[in-house]
Amino acid sequence: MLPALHIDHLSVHYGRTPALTDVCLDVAEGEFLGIMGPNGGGKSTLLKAILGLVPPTLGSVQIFGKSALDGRSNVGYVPQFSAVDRRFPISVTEVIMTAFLKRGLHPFFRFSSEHKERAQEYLRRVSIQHLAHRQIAALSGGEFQRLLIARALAAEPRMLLLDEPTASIDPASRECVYELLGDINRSMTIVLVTHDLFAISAKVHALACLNQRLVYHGEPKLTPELVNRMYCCPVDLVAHGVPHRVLAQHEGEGCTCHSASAPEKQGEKHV
Amino acid sequence: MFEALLEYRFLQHALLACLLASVVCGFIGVAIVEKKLVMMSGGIAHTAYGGVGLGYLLGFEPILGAAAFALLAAFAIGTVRRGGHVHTDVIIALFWSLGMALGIAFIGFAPGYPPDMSTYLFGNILTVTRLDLQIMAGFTAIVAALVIILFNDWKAYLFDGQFSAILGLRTTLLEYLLLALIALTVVVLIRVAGIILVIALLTAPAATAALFTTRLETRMALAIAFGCLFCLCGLWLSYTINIASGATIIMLSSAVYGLAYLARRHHIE
Repeated sequence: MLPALHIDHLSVHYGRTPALTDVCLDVAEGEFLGIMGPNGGGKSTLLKAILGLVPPTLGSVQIFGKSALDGRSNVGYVPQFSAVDRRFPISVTEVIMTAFLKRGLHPFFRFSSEHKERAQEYLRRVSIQHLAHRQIAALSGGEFQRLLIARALAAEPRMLLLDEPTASIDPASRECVYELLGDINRSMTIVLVTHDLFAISAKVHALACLNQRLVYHGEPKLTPELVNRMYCCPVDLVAHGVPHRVLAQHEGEGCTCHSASAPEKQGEKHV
Repeated sequence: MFEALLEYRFLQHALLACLLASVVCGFIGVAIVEKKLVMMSGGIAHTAYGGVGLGYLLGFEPILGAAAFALLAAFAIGTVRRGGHVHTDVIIALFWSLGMALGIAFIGFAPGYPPDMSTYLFGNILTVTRLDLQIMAGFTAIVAALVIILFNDWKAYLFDGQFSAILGLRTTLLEYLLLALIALTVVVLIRVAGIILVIALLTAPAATAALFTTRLETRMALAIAFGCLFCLCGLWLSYTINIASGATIIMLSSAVYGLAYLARRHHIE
């Protein structure tokens, strides 16, 4: 069976600066993959390369056997919270309905009452149907994140890509989002970029660690050695903002640094 | 002023120019403010001065030269921005000054006494000719038609261009089309507010409308209404107290925006 996502020796450069180097990764259909890595490690670049938004320098991406540009219509994308302007004058229903626009341009196109009913279904699926007529500026962080997930689902994808969906929301909303993703995963492949250890340990089926190169791909078990290898330095893990030490500080033995650009690498990191 | 309006052709032209300028301000001003392209619009406007100078040098209608230079600048800035190798600020600044420099040079090369360029730099709605009006009406019709016909595509693109691209919307085409519409809008506004003041007229009605509504359609309609109000009241004020119309319109727009902002804040608190 074809994998949902096949990444073959992918390298991406921004000018002369490498963002990804020789990444090979397969995601099976129905899998829930978590991607972790330090800031600047290439996680978001990997998602953009999958979506065909940045061209690969070397290698290729295949989505359900098609090239990134042809296959991305099978992908629902949930961008980083900060990537979308929350002050834009648009209502919750209208945001969902933008996903009903398909290829090309749509001269004289007007959304029908049927479109509005369909939008309501997707809102119901993420439990924010009561907010249908509200403007997005009036939503809380958790509600807005659910809206972005509903919009991605409204494009009727076979695979969902999420870029740090819980980065700016409170713990209760974060729990709800993960519950929702668990439900969605019953019918859809999910690739989740996150810094959230809770998601990695409890929800995903597989873990990929990225620091410009693929440092690890396998079971979602974070060990001190793996974290140090991924971040290229001793790491102090901080859970949910409470500064208790989860892993002992390491002296960086066996640390293989792949990135030449991250200035934090010399010191200790908090995750 | 009402009798004068019936009597003098130049006032009738000024009134029509006000209405046309308000329509483009409403449609494109809102798009510019939401897409954060205000400074790029300033760059396009100032580059148009090169076209005005070329028109004087070669003896064709300067406003057509302005349109050609504005379109050229819009596509060049858009292409360099998409390439991502140069910061957008840098390329806008270069076009901004290059356009002005070319305009000055072309006028310097023109034979005879240099013409008075203040109507292009600061606007003088009372000097709008029949040909200016025809050009303004044509460009306004193009802008309004393209915004209305592709309204849902614009809404999706302005809200989240990346998501729209993933869906398969022709976002590259929409991006260049928006830049072209900005260029045409700038040309429509040059005779009203002038190259230097054009940014204020593009942003003030849209920003004032944003204080009162959170729907894109309503915001555009309200921005058109505010544009009409600013231009007509500014025209009346400039006629009454006999000062430059472009400057009066901009001062009035900024004052109304300031007052509306304070009133809104007071209302919220």
